[in-house]
Amino acid sequence: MSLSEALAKGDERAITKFYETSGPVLFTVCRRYAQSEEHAEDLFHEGFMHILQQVKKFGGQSSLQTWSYRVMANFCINQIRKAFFRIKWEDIENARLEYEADEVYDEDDKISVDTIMEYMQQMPPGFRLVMNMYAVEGKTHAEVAGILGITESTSKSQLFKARKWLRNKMKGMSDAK
Amino acid sequence: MQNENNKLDDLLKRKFSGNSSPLPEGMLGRILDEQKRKKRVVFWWMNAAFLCAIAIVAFVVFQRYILDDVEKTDVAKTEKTKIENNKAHTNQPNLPQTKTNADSNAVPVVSENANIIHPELTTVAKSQPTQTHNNKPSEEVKKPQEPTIAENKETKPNEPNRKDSTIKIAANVGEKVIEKPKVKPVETPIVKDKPTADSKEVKVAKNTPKEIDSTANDAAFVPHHKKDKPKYKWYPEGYIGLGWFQENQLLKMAEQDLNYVLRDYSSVAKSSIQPLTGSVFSAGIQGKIRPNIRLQGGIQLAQASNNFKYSYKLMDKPTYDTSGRINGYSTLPDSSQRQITQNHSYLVPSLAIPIQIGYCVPLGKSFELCGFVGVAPQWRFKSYWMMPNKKDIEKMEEIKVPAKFTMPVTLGLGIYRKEENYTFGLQGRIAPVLSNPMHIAQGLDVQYRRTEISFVVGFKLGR
Repeated sequence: MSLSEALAKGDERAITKFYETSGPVLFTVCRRYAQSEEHAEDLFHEGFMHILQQVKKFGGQSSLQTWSYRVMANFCINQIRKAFFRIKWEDIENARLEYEADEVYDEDDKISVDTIMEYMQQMPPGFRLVMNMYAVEGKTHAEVAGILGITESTSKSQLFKARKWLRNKMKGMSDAK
Repeated sequence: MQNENNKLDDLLKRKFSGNSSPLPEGMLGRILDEQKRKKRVVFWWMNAAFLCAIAIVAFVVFQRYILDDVEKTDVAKTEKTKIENNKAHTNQPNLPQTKTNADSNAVPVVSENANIIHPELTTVAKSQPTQTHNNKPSEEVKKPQEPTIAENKETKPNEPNRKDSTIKIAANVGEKVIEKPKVKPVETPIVKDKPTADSKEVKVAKNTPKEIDSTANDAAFVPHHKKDKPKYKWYPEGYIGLGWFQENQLLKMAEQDLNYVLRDYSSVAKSSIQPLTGSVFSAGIQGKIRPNIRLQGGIQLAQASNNFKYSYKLMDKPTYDTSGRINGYSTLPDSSQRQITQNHSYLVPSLAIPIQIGYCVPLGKSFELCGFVGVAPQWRFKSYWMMPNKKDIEKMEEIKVPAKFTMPVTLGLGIYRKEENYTFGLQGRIAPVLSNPMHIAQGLDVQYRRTEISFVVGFKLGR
C-alpha cells in the first residue's frame, strides 16, 4: 500500500511518517503566509487536516510532497483571503512602478531566513499574499489576479509596494548593522 | 531597476526554496487526535443513521399493523353494537319492518306497515344505542293520500330537527310523516366513522337495495379488501433477564515509542490485559408485534471486572527532557534489570438501552427461534486502568478513565418457550463492530466488542 493510500485510510503510522517527512516544508509555507507564529501553527494544523481529507483525490501525477505543497499553499491563500476579506487592494499606475524600486545590497544575502520570514509576517496581508505568490512561488500576475479576484494592475501594484516595504525593512537592518 | 526587483525575488526564492521549519511541539498529537475525533463523528453518524432506520421501520410496523388491528377491533365492536340495536328495533311488534333501500331512482324504501316512502328522501340517521323507539307509536305513521315525489334535499347537519333520533320524510308534503327507525347503513365507505352531535345522519348510498341481514356477523362490516387479513393484536409483555457477558478489548497504540513509559509497553499491555467479564441484568418490554416479528427493548445494567496481569522484565528506563517529556530510553545495568509482576482488578459498570427487532420461526408447538438486529446505546461509567507509572516505572499508576458513551450495533439469536402465562428464553447477542475508540492515556486507545448470553423470562402485563 502506498503512502497516499495509507493516508487516505487514516492510518496513524502513515500520518506520522508523512508528518515527519513533509511537515517541516509545509510548515514553512504556512509561516510565509501567516501573520504570526501562532497563526502559522493554526494554518498548519488546519491545512494538514485538509491534506489528509483531500489525499484520496491525489492522482499520482506528481510526487505526494509536491502535491501537498500546492494544496497547503492554496489552503493558506484561501484562509488569508477569508480572514482578511477587507484587504484594501490599492491600485497604482503601472507607469510609475519602474521608477520606484530600490537597489539590493550585498548584505541582504546574509539576512537569515527567519528574519525575512519575520518581515513577511509583519507585512500587510495584501502585500504578503502577492509577494508570496509572485516572488516565491513563481506565479504570473495573471494567475495571481485570477486566484485573488483582482486585476493584474492591482497585483502589480501590490507587489511593488510589498517589495518596497520589504526593502525598507532590510535596509533598516543593514543600516543598523 | 527591473533587475533589482528580480534580484529581490531571487533572494526570496533562494532563501525559501526547500527551507524547512521545525515543527511545533505537540502538533502531531493534535492532528492525530483530530483525526480520531473525525473517525468518531463518522462512527456516530453511522450509528445514528442505523438507529433512525430501525425507528422508522418500527414506526411503519406499528402504524401499519398494530394501529390497524386496534382500529379494526374498535370498528367491529361499534358495528356489532349497532346491529344488535337494529335487531332489537326490528323485533318490536308495532314497528314496521324496515328494508333499507339504496336505490333512489327505482325502488323505494318499503315499510311493511304499508308505508311507501319516496327514495329521494331516504336519509336516515344513525342509530343511537341509548334511545329506543318504544315510545314512538305506530299511529304516527300516516298513509299518504297519494305518493308524492318530494324534493331531494340534503339535510343540513345543523338543522335542529335533524338532531332528533328519527327522520321525518316528505315533510314538505305535510301529509305523511313517518318516523323511521334509524337504520345503520350497510355501505361502510359512506358511514362516518365518528359521528358527532351535529352529524348523526348518514345518507344511504344509491346502490342496489340490500336488506339488513340480522344474522350478519362482524365480518360483514370489515372492508372487503381487508377481509382476508388475519387480525393480530399485540400484547406486550414485561421481561427480566440475567446473563453473563465478555468484552474483548482491542488496544490501539500510537506508533510512537516515546509515548510510553515502557519502551515495549505495546507488547506488555497486549499480553497483560484480559477480556472484561461480568454479569448483566436486564428488564424491559418485549412482545410479538406480528406472528413472526418480535420486538424487545429495555434497560440493561452490567458490571464487569477488568483484570490487569502485568508481568514483564524491566530492562530500560525512560529519559526525560526539561519539560518532563520522554525523549529516549537508557538500558539499565544488568544488576538493575528485574522481573515486575503486578495484578490489579477494577469494576467497570455500564448502563445500556438495547432495542432490537427480530424475526422468529416456530420450532415445534412450544418453541421458536428468533434472529435479532438492533442497537444498544451504552454508557460506560467512570472506571480505572492500570499503567506503568511515569515517575517510578516499577510501580503501577491508576489512570482514571472518564465516562464514555458508545452505540454499538448488535446481532442476536434467541430460543423461546411459550407457556400459558410466561415466556422463557435463552438469548445471545454480539456486537459485530468494535466500539468507538476510548482514550486511556499515554497514546493508548481501547475498543470493545461485547458478547453476552442471557436467560430471560417474559410475563404478561395487565391483560
